[in-house]
Amino acid sequence: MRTLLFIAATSALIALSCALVGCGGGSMQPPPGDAMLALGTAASDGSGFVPLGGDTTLVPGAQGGFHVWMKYRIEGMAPETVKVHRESRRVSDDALVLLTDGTLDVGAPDADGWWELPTALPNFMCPTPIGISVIDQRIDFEVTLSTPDGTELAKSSAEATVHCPDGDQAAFCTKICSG
Amino acid sequence: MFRRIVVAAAAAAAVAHAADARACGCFAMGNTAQPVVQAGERILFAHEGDQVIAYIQIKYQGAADQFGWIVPLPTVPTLEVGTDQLFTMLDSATLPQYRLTTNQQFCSGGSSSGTDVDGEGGCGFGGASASPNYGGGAGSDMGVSVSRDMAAGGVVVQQASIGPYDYAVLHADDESAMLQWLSDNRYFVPAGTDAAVMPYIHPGAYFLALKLKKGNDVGDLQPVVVKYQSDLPMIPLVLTSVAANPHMGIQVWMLGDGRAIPRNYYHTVINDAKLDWVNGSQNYNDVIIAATAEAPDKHSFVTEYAGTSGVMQGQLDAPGRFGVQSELAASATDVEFASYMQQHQFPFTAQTVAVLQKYIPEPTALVNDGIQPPQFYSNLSYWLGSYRQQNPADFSGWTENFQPVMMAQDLQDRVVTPTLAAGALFSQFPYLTRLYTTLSPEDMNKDPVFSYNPGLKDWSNVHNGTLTYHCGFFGDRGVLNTAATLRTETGWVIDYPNGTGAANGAFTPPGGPSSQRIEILREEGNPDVIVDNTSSISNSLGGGGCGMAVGGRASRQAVGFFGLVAVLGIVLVGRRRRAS
Repeated sequence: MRTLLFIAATSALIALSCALVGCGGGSMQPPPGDAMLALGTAASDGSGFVPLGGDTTLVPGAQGGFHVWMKYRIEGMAPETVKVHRESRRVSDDALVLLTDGTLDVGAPDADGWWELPTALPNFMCPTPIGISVIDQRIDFEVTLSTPDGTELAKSSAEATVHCPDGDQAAFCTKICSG
Repeated sequence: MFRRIVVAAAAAAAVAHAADARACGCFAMGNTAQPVVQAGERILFAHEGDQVIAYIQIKYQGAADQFGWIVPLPTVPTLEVGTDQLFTMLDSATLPQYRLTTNQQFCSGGSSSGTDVDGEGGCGFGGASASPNYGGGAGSDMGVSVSRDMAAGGVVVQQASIGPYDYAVLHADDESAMLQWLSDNRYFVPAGTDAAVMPYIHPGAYFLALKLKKGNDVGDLQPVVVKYQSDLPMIPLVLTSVAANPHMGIQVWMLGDGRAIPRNYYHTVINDAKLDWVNGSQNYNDVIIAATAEAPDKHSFVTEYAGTSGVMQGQLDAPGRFGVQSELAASATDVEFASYMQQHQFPFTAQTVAVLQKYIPEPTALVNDGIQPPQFYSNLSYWLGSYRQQNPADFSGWTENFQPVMMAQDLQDRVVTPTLAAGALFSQFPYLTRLYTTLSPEDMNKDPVFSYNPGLKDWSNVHNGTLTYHCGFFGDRGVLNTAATLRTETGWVIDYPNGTGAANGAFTPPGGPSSQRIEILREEGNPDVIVDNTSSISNSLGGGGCGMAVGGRASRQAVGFFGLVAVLGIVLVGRRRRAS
């Protein structure tokens, strides 16, 4: 009986934790703070907002690399400059593909309460680190927003399988995205 | 008396042998060797928010009207002019230094203590000293030059002038349209560029093109500061390959919160036994070439410095430097103007000289006397002051266009503002990394991308080795012929049984690999060592463990020395027995 109670309590705690900090790879998860962060991607030209997930095609960048367009939608945050920590990892082995820190000027929310990054951000993927291929690999994209002093405001992650584009860029993409 | 001498000598010999590499005998500092690598590309990157800031030093040799420079960028950049002094000071502050401390055992003058610098001391000889100059490639940076005919197109995003340059930002969606526009507008592009630019041609991509404005020459070339949005900085080496030289040096400094890494290139730790420590590590660049060539595809960088950016803080933007523009502009005479500049630490770089030349030309008589522009302008108050008074004939027919307000403004734009802005970077970013490699055009087939791993350890640019000379009892035979033992910073021990032979010319490095380790540095965690040549180096030096002799003479000498001591000891015992 005590064992059953322990299992039930543990399950409840896990469920509560998942509800609070997010589990799995959905594109919109409850953040740890009051703010909500949703990760999206864009069309090949960087326009629009599509929830990040499923399959996505690597976009050639001007400096000879490839990236995934990244967009944010944020709810429940006043206009301010926040720190952004981005990590991209290969799901199969947790290998780090990108780790970068930057800042973001969050603007005023629209009538629905959301603020959307006006221009898609190129999330750097290739050239990949030595030995780490991302071609046809499921990648976990995680973004954390925090205050300048490091207090976490929102965190979200999404998984997508990335592919090289067809056509002229296919061979070059394969060359520099295969580690 | 004889007995006392023998006992003293034997005791000293035992101590000396036991303390082989320590500072016994005459202690000589003095061999601070600073390999000077003249890299073909010198770039300082910083990452601020989502922006990459790139300071790029442009090097070019050729006709001014054939200078052109293009670089692919992911977004429309902002462009500013930089300062050569940034690179001069960065180079100086982070230059690899291989210091050799020399010790001498039983050299003429005995085991006296003291410091002997560059061989001028009480021990008969000291350490060799050298400040070698390595000629790296002299290619153009991140871009290309020369000429080619193409037709026009309408691809311009932005067109303007800055400093000595005209520049254009072009859409790079269509290669032929872009190249045609460059040709029509006299931005020169070398043959072979078509293929090299292909990886950078995409919808939404941009190229920045620079050329010298009319009336400017190659001496006016000034570093550029390019700011653009990107996660990570990258060098478009594939494009650079069009105009690169063999073994072109690529020098990168990275500012950030932690140590920078080459993301998609290997990382090499050189085998320091390969360095010519005795001659100031003059072969440093050769070792780098050989070491990086041992990495897969020859794609590897060496870390030359990783540590605080404090080594550069205040170097460019010391308080009070440059004074006040309005004060300079208020100078009543050219001599007063020049004196103000000297008093306020204006650098007499190519940029400063270029500004001053416009207003105060160097008198023909001085040019004919071989006074170079930097000599003239760096001491302008002297030439225009006392020298002019004493040699008025040299100024006969000479005129100047002294416009202090305009001159002060030009200096503000071309020298003061860029220098202070560059200096401020080192207060903004706490950590500085210096990376170096060499690549030949055929190996420039992957663009290096740089990132950070703050968990990695610092890396000093100062390396210390010791050289112990074994003079023996019978006086030294000169620095070149006296047996010596070198201990490198890594701990490799190399004997020079016939002396270091420094003046005999060619240094023959020991065999074995030039890289001690080849690693992969990632954005987290410790280095992933893929090749560890420690055993191989040890074997190549002739011994296990920590390495051994080249020729082994020092060992033989030690045996002979102890043999001699033993013989003398026997003789002494014999005399004592007879005496008793």
